[in-house]
Formats: sequence, structure tokens, C-alpha cells
Amino acid sequence: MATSVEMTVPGDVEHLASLRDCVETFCDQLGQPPDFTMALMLSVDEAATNVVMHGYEHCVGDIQIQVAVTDGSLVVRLTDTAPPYDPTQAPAPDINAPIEERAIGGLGIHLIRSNMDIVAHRVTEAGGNELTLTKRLAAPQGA
Amino acid sequence: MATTTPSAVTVPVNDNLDAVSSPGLERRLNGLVEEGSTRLVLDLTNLRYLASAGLRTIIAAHRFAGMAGGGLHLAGLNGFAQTVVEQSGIAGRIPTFATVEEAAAAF
Repeated sequence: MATSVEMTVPGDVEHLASLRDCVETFCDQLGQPPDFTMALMLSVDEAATNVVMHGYEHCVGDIQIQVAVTDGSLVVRLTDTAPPYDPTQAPAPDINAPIEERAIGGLGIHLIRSNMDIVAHRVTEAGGNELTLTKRLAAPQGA
Repeated sequence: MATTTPSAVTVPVNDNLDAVSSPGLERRLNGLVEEGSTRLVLDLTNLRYLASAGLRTIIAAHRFAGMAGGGLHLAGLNGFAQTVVEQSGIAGRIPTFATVEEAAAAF
């Protein structure tokens, strides 16, 4: 069984599903429960959607995904060449505000934070972004 | 396919509601409200995957239908989509019902 997988797709909405599928296949191979897999798929989808909608709003580029198991956690690395933007610094939405007053937006990073154990950002040597999403595996690998 | 009852229009949303499929749903719901169907029920029984783009569409339609004198009710939420709705904080703020019949009758 592969202990890591890597793929690169064009940074557009049409390829978001490919990134989700990549994560789903990897989690399924690890025997992870559906809730774990969906949490990973959602987090990758939200992060990549942000890159496509905002990072690549005025330019084009690829999104690279690397998925691996490290120390009992699933670690997903998403890399792009968009202008540097750290989503972990975005203010948390006020999810308790009345729905009529709620700002539309900011939900994506909130959902990532809700589903991942660790979310980390760094600017790459090439001047793009690397977002690392870490979630402890729900069951022993290969059990 | 939308089903119209005397009180509400039911719109089924199946499979994935993500950044790809949300704009189409938003146009459809806006179109219904503009045509005067302001009481909307989203049938989410067969919704498997929900992302924030879908949540934004639901919130926007809830506001738009509300401003037009109606509203938007959710029906049949289950599984992962229900988890996402709960995490987003919109659970309990947009009326949610177990079945389409209950959601339509509640207007």
C-alpha cells in the first residue's frame, strides 16, 4: 500500500473534485471511517477553493497535493504559486451572529479549523503558498 | 425537478453541493423567488457532500426568500452534510425539518 501520494492539477474549479477524489482514495486505502475521510475531503476542498477563487483570481497556476502518513497522522500538503496569503490569520467568522447579520464568507477556513487538528501555512521558496493540514488517524494504520 | 404544493416549492439537491454546483443552484433559487415562489424547501435527503460554497448559497437564498416575504426550509439533512451544517452554526437558524412534508407544512 502506498504510504504517500502526490498529484498536480490546474488551479481551477473543474479540478477541485480531482483533489477530493485523491484524498478519498488514500483514506479509503488506509481503512479510515467515512467521517474521517469526509473531514479530510472537505478541508482539502475548502483550502483549494480558496486558492482557486482568491489566489488565482488574477493569475493562473497549478495546485500540488501531497498526502502522507506521519507519526499516526494524515498530513496533507497543498502547494500553489499564487501570491502569498495565510488563511490561518483570517479572522474567525462570528458563527453565533444572527443569520441575517452574518457576513457571507470566512466559512471555508472555519470548517477547515473545525475538522483538522493542525493547520499551518508558510511561504514557499518560489514565493507561493504551502498549507499543511494534519489530522490524527482514527484507527491504527493497516489494522 | 421542482415539486409545487399550495404552500411551497420543493427543490431536491442531490450528491454534491460544492463550488462547481452551487452557482447553478443559486441561479435556480433566485429565479424561483423572482417568479414569486418565495416559500422554498430544499430536499437534502440525497445530499452526500456539502462545502462552504453550498452553505453560502443556502444562506443567500434564505435571505433573498425572506426579504421577498417567504423563507427557506431545509429537509432531510443527514450524514456528513448535517455535520457541516452544524459546524457552520446555521443549524437552528435556518428552519430544519426531518421530512419535506413537515418543512412545507411549516410555512
